[in-house]
Amino acid sequence: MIFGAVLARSMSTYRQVSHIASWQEALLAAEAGSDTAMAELRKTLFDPAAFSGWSTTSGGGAALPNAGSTLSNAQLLHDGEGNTQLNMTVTIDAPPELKDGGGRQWYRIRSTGTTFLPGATWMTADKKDHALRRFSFLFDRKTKQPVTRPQSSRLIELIVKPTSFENAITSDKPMYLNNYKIVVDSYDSRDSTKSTSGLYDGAKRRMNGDIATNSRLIDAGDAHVYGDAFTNAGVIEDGANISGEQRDDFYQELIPISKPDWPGGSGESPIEALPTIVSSSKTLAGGTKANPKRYKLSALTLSGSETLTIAPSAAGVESYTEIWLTGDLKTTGSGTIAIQPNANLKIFLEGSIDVKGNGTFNANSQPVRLQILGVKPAVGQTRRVDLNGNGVLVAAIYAPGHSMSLGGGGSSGLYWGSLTGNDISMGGNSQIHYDEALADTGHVTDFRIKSWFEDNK
Amino acid sequence: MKTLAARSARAFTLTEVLIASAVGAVALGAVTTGAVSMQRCAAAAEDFAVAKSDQARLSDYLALDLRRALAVTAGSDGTTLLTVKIPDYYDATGSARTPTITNYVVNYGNATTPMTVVYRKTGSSIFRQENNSAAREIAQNVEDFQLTVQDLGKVVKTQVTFLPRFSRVASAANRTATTVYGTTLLRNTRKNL
Repeated sequence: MIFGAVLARSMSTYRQVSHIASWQEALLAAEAGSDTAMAELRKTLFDPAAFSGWSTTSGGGAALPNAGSTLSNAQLLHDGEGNTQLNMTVTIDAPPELKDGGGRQWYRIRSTGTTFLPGATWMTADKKDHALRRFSFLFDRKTKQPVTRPQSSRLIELIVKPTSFENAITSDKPMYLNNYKIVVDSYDSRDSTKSTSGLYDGAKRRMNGDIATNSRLIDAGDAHVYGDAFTNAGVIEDGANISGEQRDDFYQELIPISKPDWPGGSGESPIEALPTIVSSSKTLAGGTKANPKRYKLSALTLSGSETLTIAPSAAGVESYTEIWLTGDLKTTGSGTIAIQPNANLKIFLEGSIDVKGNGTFNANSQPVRLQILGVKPAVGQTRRVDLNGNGVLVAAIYAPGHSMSLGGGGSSGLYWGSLTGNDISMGGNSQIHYDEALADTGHVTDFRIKSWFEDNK
Repeated sequence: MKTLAARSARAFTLTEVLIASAVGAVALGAVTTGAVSMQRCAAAAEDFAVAKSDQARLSDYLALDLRRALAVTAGSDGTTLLTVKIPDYYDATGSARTPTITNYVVNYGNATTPMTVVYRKTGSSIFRQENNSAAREIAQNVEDFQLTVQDLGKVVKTQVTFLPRFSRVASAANRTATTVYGTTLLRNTRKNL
């Protein structure tokens, strides 16, 4: 009798261990689902085939609410004792409640991981476990529908934000700040307590001028960084003047920018016939946000006091212009790009940037109004962004395939905005004032999980 | 005339009785000892299973709440172990809410009143309480609970030591052997998640 009791207890313990393991594995399956959804979401930035294979209808054939898509992936198998099969079902949708203050749509990912419970159809050990693990022995705990086998399921919900320009400076390869006079800090052009008239104000300096690299090295050169510094399992040399955290657990895939596919579909803006090159002063007017005016240029070269002016479609009307620049952007002297009030310019750059002289780009405005997106260079090609001279550049540059050099060769070089490049080297008296508004309002370059919750009811 | 063998079959000699009694006593003692050992083994197995169950449950509850936490504070009143603020995910009917975004922050329900989960230790038991609902005992025989919030509130480490009921001798070594360690990354406070 006693032997029987010991055996029963041992079997119960064995079963309990299997059940707990199944419960743990269900979370892994759920997270696999959310990772899959995140990967597809990121793919939308460069692959028109994203979300292929996903269903936009429910089992009954009705369209999923909130423009949802769902994917079920059964039978992720593994060896070993206990449960050997993981199943996941993930749904992503865009509820209207998930629009931020700028009107940008956020996404909701709901992922359920399900595993089977080996052994007989009963709870083992302490009944208190059921309040936590909520196994489905006969009926699914959520749907109340009968289940074919005893199972454990766990549901997680993620809220995902489209994001861009998250740091003052980001590089894929090493970053060198070669002068202690370099200053990196931040402001927020949307907030009058963090800027003045939407412009950087040194008296309202903020500490979010973060610098980050996917490589193992930041040579901070004793530059004054008012923010955090991140490497990927690397070191930060000469970081005595970094005000924030210094961490080595950073990695952020820098999703490449693809060549535009204009016009991508019916209803999209056509490419304007002229100009096809800009080598002297010129004014380009904008269109609406949904239908921006689009230009394809082979080169953009400005010298002397030549200016490319980006104008709104009408005074006071928020307007948008996009340029697909297949060649280089070069300026010398006071040559510059002027963005008029209410105008916005986005440049898709296939070539390089070479800025010299004293030009003031997008002066007295916000960096979000001049965004330069470096298209991924072909294999074997090198593209550069060289910013030199004593000019002022108010822009956000995302060019993860371009090598960047900020000379600040003269007495100063002012950059308001954000820089992302393959590798970055800075010198002179360069100052970078990161506009925190860019992370919420700039061109979407990635997605971030902003909320994570496990629903265990 | 009766033979010696016939006489011997009628009774045992004193020596035989003594030997038989001794053998019987030894056998009975062995059976009794075995039975007691089996009983102890059963009790130990039961205690061990309960202890492991409590350890796993407490560890899993903590990980569940910490992963989804908005904020974690260690208790300071001698009873409260920790307080975890989690999103107010469920509405009054227990259904999942659709969140909203205010100032680029995700909110479930009223942003100023997230759900509060409190872990308390009363005697040797640990109780978990959600908001004002009844506290629920989730683990027994807990001797010690240590909580460390690290990395600017992004990582929480826990260390729980149980009373080893399955051992007759509650030595320090045995107590140490029952310690459960946990490290949880708080998903909602990680940068660049």
